[in-house]
This record gives sequence, C-alpha cells and structure tokens, in this order.
Amino acid sequence: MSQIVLDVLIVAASVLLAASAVMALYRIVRGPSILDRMIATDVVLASIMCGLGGYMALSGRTDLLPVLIVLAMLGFVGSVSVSRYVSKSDSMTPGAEAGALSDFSASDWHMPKSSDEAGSGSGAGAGSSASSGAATDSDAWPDDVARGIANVADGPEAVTVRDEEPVVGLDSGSDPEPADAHEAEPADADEAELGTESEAVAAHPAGEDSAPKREEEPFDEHADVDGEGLGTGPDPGPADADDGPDDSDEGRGAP
Amino acid sequence: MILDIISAVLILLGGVLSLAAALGLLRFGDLLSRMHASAKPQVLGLLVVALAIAIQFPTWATVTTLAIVISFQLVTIPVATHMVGRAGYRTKHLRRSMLYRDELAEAVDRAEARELAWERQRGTGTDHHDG
Amino acid sequence: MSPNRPRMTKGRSFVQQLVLVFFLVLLWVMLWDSVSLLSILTGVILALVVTRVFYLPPVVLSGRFNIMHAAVFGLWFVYSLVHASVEVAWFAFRRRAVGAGSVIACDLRTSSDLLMTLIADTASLIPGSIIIDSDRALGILYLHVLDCDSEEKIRTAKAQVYHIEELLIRALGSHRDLAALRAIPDPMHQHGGEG
Repeated sequence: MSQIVLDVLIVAASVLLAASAVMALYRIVRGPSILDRMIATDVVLASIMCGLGGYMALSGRTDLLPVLIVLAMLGFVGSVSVSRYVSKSDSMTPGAEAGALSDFSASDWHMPKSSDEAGSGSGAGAGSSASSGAATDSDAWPDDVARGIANVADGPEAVTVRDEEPVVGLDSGSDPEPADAHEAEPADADEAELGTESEAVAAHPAGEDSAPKREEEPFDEHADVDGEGLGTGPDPGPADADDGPDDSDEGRGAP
Repeated sequence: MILDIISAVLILLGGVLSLAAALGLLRFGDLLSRMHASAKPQVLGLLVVALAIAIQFPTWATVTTLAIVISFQLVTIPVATHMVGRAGYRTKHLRRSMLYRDELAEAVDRAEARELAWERQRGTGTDHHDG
Repeated sequence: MSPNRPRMTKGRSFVQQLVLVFFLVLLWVMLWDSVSLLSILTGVILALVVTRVFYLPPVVLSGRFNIMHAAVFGLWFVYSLVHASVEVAWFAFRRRAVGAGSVIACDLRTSSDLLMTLIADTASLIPGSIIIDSDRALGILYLHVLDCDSEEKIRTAKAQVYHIEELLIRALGSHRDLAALRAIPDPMHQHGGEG
C-alpha cells in the first residue's frame, strides 16, 4: 500500500518537473528577448537540480552531491554574462530592427494614451511631474531633459562632435561656480550608479548642441538609451559594473 | 518507509514550485515579472529538495554538503536576478505600461533636470535648448 | 566615499583575514566530509593561498554580531520566503496572472556597504521584490516589486524592506547604524508622504 503511494508521488513529481522544463523550453524558443531566454534557462537548470536531488533522495545514493554543488555555484554565470553585455541591437528576435517600438510606444513615457492600461496613467503621471507632462512631442520640455534622450537620429552625425565646436566636457568645469552648481555636482556624482544612462546624457550635450535635426524626429526614447548610438562603438556594458571608483570623474555631472 | 513518503512529498512540493515558476514564465506579461517567477524554485524548491535528501541521509557529511549547496544558491541567485533585472530595466525590454510607479525614473529625471539647470548656468551652448 | 566609515586599522584587517581563512577552511573541510589533520592542514594552506592570490578589498565589518537577533532574522527570513513563494506561485496559477509592478525607492537609514548589500540580497531572495539599482552614496535602494498597482501595496513593499533593514541592523549593524535606527524608527511616516 505504502509502496503504491510512494510510486504515485514519485511519478507525479517527475511529471511536474518535466512539465516545468518543457514550459521553460517554450519560453526559450519564444522569448522576445535574450534575457527572457536566459531566465528560462535558469528555470530549466533549477528543475534539473530539483530532479537530481529527488533522484538522490529516492535511489539512495549521495555520490551525485558534488554535481549539485557545482550546479549551484556556477549556474548563474550564464545569466550574468549575457545580461552584462546585452545591448539594444542584440536582443530582438530576427525580423525586428533595433530600435523598433514593438513592446510599447513612445507615449508610455510621459503621455498616457489611454486609461485602459492602469499602469501607464499614474506611472506616467508620477514620472512626468518633473517634466511638466509634455503633452506634445516634448516641445514644452527641453529634449535632453526628457529622460536624457533627445530627438536624435540614429546616425553617426548626431553623436559625433564636429571639429569647429568646442567640446565642453561635463567634467571640465573650472569656472567660478555659483553655489547651487556646487551642490548639484556631488549629488549628481552620487547618482553615477545609474551608469549607462549617464553615458547617454554625457554624450548628448556635447554632440547635441548643434544637431539641427532634433525637432523633426518624433520623440524616440530608444535612441541612445544606453549611449549605444551607432557612433559610439561597441557596447561598453553597464558602466558601474567595473571595479574601482567610477563616481569620481566618469559620471561627474551626469546622473 | 514513512521517511520515504515524507521525502517523496517534499520532492513533489519542489515539483509544484518548479511548475509554478514555469507557468509564471509563460503567463506573466513582461520580463521583470517573469524574473520574479523564475527565481522562486531556485530558492525554495532547492531548499525543500535538500530537506528531502537530508531526511534520507541524516549524516553530518551530507547535511554539511547540503548546507553548502543552499548557501551558494542563496548567494548567487540575487546576483543573477539583479543583473538580469538591471539589464532589463535599462534597455527597451521594460514595458512601461506594466509599471504602476517608477521611482527610479523619477530620480533619474530629477538628476537630469538638475544637471541641465547646472549646465545652463554655465552657459555652455544652452541657447539651443530653449523650446 | 563617506568620510565617517570606520577605519581599517592593521588589527582589524588581520582579524578580518583570520575570519576569512577560518571560513574557507570550514568550507574545505565540509567539502571533503572529513575532519582530519590532513584536510585541515591542506585547507589552511589553500585558504592562505587563495586570500593572497585573489585579494578582495576588505569589507568593513562592524565588529558587532548579536546572535539572538541574527536568529530572529533567520527565522523571519525562512517564514517570509515560504509565505512569499506561496503567494507568487498562487499568482502563476490564478486566472488573472499578475498586474502591473512598480519600481520603488527605499531610503535606507544605514549607509554601510555591507548592510546595503545584505538588505538587497535578502529583498531579492524573498519572492516579490528584485533589486534593480542602488544609490550607494545616498543609501537608496531601488527595487522592482511584483503585482504592485496600488498605494497600499507600495506601502507594504516598502515596509517590508525597512523591516529587513531593521532586523539586519539589530543583528550586525554598527553603533552608528543602531543610532540611526533609533532616530528613525518608522521611516514610512517620517518623511512627508513617502510611500
């Protein structure tokens, strides 16, 4: 009697674990981004570990424990490596261009388009309080303040600094400053933890000052979200992932 | 025999948690929500399965090895979820419509507004930014 | 960063290395499943080699460890883990799945790196919240919370993070952190309209 109960329990557990692995596999195939695939791989790994543990418990052998240790120790390396280098262009499934607005539209940022998505209304309302709720295409608010992303065309000229302009780096401030600039500075340097967005903001004021075409583009918040415009070379990854102090001069003057 | 049944029940529980995680992966709407679902079996599922093994082999050797497994998992899972979450937030995988309140974006906005105000004050070609 | 961090004197640094070596030897012994002279000796040698070759920047421990509060934290953690796992599993099974989430900011009372890391780790482990970003200098943690689409739920989520912080400060916070804890016992109602 108890053997039957045991067998039923074992079979049920195996079926559940196998089903969870198969469903995670579906997400691996289907996942619209590489990060979805990575977390689905983590679920497959967790199912494997549970299955291995179950096998050890029920067949009376412990020589597989080192396998469990190694899986536990190193199972996260895949997700971390991929997320370290994920970039806008890598993560779309083929057939969609980088920068295509597939998941949501520009209006999700500051303008609630409809009220059916309960989130965007109050979220945008709260988030745009600083940007005074730009109802139109951010005419009321200077472009590069709206999330640090201006109406930048995805082209090298937009982020390239031309020769005749003086390049004013944000950390070259040596003029005698009024008091409030001093108190703005350390607070901004502290927010350098928000690494890649700082690169976007840093890249823009330098190259943006004379880009003539920013009014024509619709507000595209994808452009240079991480400072990954086409002119900036390979994706440097999250800037604050490197060790060493990076809030001294790298993110100075930028959030 | 009763120990075997207890172990089997615990493993079934681990299976249910894994199934819940996979279901969450399928059903939740955006990347960040799916990540919540995926981290669960790695913590509680493994804890439950380790309990099952410890019940079957209550020796010091096994129990300490299982303690090692659990502590490594506890240390590495937050790292993985944080990295994926940060990457998911910063790139366009974030679905703004699935966020009710975004205080990080507010803080970034404030910082950028401060930055722009500071830069304006320094007079570095800010005339272009007016309107 | 902050000039008020406790200084790493030579004595502290040596004790810290000792603690590190001790835990590495413990890990080695546990891996080999045998407490013999050979395993301990090889463990000590390997631990010393590892701490020299892979030299980590020293973590400033506060030198305070309250075992009672640490046990309370451990028990609360396990209870919260089970409760939140069941809750998130229920979300996966129920018809409505899950609604909108939120990214909340928690202004912590402590500014120590170790405590912030532990709070972030604990919050990430408990299903329902994931640490997205942090502001180390200001001591702010940004977390994404699952199914958080009303003010009430935001308040609950923030209260949980502050509770984690309180338990951890009591367990291994420094005296400055304890003073900060006493000064702001209830951060939800301290600042005007936070949460």
